[in-house]
Amino acid sequence: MTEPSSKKIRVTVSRSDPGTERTFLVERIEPMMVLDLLIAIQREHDPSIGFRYSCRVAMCGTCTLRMDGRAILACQTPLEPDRDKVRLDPLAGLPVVRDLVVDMKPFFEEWARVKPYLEPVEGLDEPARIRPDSPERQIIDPSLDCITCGACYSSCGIADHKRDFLGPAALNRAMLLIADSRDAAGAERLDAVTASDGVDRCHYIYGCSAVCPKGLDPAAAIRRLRRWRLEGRPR
Amino acid sequence: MTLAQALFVVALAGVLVAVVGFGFVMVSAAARSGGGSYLSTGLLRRLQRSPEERAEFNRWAFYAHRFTGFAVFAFLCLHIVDISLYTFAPGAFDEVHVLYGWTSMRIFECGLLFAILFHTFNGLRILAIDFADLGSRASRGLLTGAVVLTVLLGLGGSAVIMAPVFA
Ligand code: FES
Repeated sequence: MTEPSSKKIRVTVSRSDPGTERTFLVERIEPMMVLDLLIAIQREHDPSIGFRYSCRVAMCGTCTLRMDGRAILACQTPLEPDRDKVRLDPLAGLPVVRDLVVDMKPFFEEWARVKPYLEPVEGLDEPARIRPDSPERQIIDPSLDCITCGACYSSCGIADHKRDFLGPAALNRAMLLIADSRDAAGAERLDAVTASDGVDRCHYIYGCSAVCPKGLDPAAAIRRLRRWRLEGRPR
Repeated sequence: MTLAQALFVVALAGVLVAVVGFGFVMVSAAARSGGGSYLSTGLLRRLQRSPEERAEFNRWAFYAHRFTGFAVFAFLCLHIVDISLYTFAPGAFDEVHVLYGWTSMRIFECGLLFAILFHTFNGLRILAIDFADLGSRASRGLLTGAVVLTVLLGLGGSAVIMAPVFA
């Protein structure tokens, strides 16, 4: 139940047009998500503020931005009741289109480089299944559910400096496809992710695993890929 | 001050300017696009509250690693030159190495010791992450160990370096 409150929160928003207002005093409701805050600004203070959202239930990955520097999904991040100010910025390392809206192209270019889809092995009996209790499934399942929101990419510290690095999301995706015995492109993918712009660029900052809104652990996927490079992929 | 000593002091000042400049560029790039939490009083509160926020320590270790690595490398370049003086100008070598006994130089050496220790232990921590397949929490534990060892050994070594000043 949403309760109106007499409290206000001071919101500083990164704006791309230097002439526009950056600081807003917004009435708090309890509970209040960061997205509620932005919608309140748009309705009551400045309709020109640029931000993006779609599903509002942490499924589409559209509403990612940075709160006090940290990448979050605006639709699922509550404002703590004792918080009286907040700063919102667009994702790091991606070109800003307007205000909090970024161009995700660099992120998806890296994503595409690992062939992020299954290339079926020929001659599989349909439907080809991996048993739920198999070791293979234990590797794959915890790494599924990426919504390509770009939070990990923004938090990486390596990928977002525009250096040549595949980034955590693409590497996580590659890892689970390499682990999948139904996939025919595993060896090719392992070559791609262990090239000079692949897993070795990771310095274990752990920003990716810390911010993933779906609780994935791309840093663990990167460690696994580094091991597979030496030990060969599991079969 | 002899010519060799003056040249060494100028070169050392150049090293210090390069190190400070590197730190400035690194910090401003991190603030612009590093993607980490901003340093603020609110951050202290959040660090106490959530393990995900405490993963930021790994990020700061990364920056500290780069900074100490550059500082050690920059000084090493100069040090190779001043040590190699021995092969072709032993007199200049002796003159330059008198400077290492100055109080200001000893303070610099203490800073260098801390940089070397942190860079070493943090480098070993990064190796251990791969070898032992450590997650964020365990790697933060190792980071605590690296910092504690750096401080303890750094203080001990600094006491030895500074002892002649107080003798
Ligand atoms: S609006 Fe879809 S994830 Fe937030």
